[in-house]
Amino acid sequence: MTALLPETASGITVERLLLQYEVEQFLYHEADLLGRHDYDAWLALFTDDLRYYMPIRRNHSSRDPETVEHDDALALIDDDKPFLAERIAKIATGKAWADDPLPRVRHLLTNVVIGEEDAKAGEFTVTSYLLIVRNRLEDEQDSFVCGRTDRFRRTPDGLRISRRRIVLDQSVILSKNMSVMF
Amino acid sequence: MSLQRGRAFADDAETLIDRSIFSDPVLHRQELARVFARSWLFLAHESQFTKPGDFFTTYMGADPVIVTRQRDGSYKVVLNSCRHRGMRVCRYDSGNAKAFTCPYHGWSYGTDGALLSVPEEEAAYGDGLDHSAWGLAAVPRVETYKGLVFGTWDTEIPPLTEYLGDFTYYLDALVDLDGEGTTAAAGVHRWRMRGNWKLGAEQFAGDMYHAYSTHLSALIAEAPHSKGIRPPEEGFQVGLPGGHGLGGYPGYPYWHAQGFSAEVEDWIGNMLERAAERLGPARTTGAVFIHGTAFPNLSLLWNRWTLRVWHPKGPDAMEVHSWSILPKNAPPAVRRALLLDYQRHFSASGTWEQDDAEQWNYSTSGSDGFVTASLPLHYGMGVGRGPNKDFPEFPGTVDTVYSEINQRHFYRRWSELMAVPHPAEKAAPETPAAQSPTSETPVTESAKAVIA
Ligand code: FES
Ligand SMILES: [Fe+2]
Repeated sequence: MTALLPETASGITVERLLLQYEVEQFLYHEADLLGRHDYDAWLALFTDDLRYYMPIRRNHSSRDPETVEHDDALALIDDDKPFLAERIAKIATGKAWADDPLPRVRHLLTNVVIGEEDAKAGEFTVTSYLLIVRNRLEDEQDSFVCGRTDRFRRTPDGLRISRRRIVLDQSVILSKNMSVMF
Repeated sequence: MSLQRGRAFADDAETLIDRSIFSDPVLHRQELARVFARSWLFLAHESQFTKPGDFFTTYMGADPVIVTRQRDGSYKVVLNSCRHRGMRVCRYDSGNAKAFTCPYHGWSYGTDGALLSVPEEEAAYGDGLDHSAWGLAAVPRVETYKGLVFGTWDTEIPPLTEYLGDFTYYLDALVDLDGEGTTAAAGVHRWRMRGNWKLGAEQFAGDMYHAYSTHLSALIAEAPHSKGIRPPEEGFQVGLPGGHGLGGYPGYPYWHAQGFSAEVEDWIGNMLERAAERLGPARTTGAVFIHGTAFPNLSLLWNRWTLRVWHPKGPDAMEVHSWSILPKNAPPAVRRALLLDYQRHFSASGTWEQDDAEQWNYSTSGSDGFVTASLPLHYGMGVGRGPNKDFPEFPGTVDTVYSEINQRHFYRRWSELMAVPHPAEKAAPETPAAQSPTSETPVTESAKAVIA
């Protein structure tokens, strides 16, 4: 198997630079699709076995964990691809009052770092920081600052994301809804 | 139309609501005293606490409080505000503590609120600080109902079960269905929205009418897995004394419309059969309770296994705290399915919740205008209609499913409470008393009770 993440002593190869470029362009393209509300094209960037997950962050003492993540714990979002498709179908009805009129949304992306390779799964992780600014109607303005950890998989259709973990920098959600896509 | 301050209704027939109750800051200050300090308020689920010292921070009205499990298994609820300068003594959402030590100057309080120690006490106060008088204010009454912990500042209010009254008949169909009780999934969803808290509470009390308009997009999007299963045409609203209310439909297999696996669907169906043997069919297999509110701000969605509190954040904003309350002994796959079903539809990211928040936002903000605010709102749905006789076993006043009977009950109770000033109200900010440094502020009996 060819290594997904080419290695050298310095850690930098032309292949590695190309991969960094490819991943960044992928994420910029994704952000652009979301800004244009092209959700069908956006959803196609994920594999069918996707898990799209955002834990709740707590105000906690240093003795306690910041997040509680197991099957019997609430999360802010815990979706599979069919449910993401349902979210998109909801907006597409034109009757989703929280998104009608549609908000003006921009996904500002930074700190893209390629991380570990899971050669067995044919996947590698990419972390990034994301600032979503949503403006809507006359004076609604929300921002969502988060970090993401994505697992990228190379498929016959190109790079796809099979797992996205979003860590939002809020404990009480300060927006009336979270209908934006992260 | 002149508002009789503290009365929700703009007409004698009690079918019109004066919309200043959704935006007026003075009324808001008053309702913190007259409504919130005089009602039983939901605090937490008992399963959030496993050992002594486990705590959970929340609000009673706008007052921050800490709920702590004591050694004897009881719960103590104290104001989360230091008696020295008012600093919040606990800034964690939950955890375990032996004491709450104020970060500002270090006064330290027991989990029961007692003032334990004061730094440099000798040098600072000599023997002039009476510890017994300067503990954290303790909520005088804390009671539980089948796993649900409530507190009230009102020393004269009836016991919790009496306060809930016939609401418990319906509440049992969530928290005591199969006799094994419920436990909360770990974590609480918390989010803020623009909109007066009463808009959430009243909608959950009695508004089935909004569902097909507000939630149209969600209904369309989930149609593919709902297998054409829809509620029957004719349902019910039940208004109860004390301002509580709920609504639903005659029994139908709603759990087959939620995209669950066969295992999950079978378990729910079987559990309801067992529940019917315990509680009778009328409130188990015979009815699907959907939405409800226990006055003032605890709301439930039976078919989504969730309950929530609407905390006021000023007249025009609220903070929702929402739990997933699951049948305790359900298999993990069932708990998981019910948890996700709630979370995906009724948390801040939920596909149903999103569109309610939009309505409350712009219903409240419309009340700001002078002319807009002068026009009362129509709450007359179902007025003059005879009782709905299809549900003879249901306690309360039963009407058909599209009715505002529960909203009228809710605001009648709200008006009753608002009509009577709270004895401690003179301390409220809208009437600052001119005080000389030597004048003594009179302390009322009920204010004394609060800080005892
Ligand atoms: S404010 Fe708490 S010790 Fe001073
Ligand atoms: Fe709703």
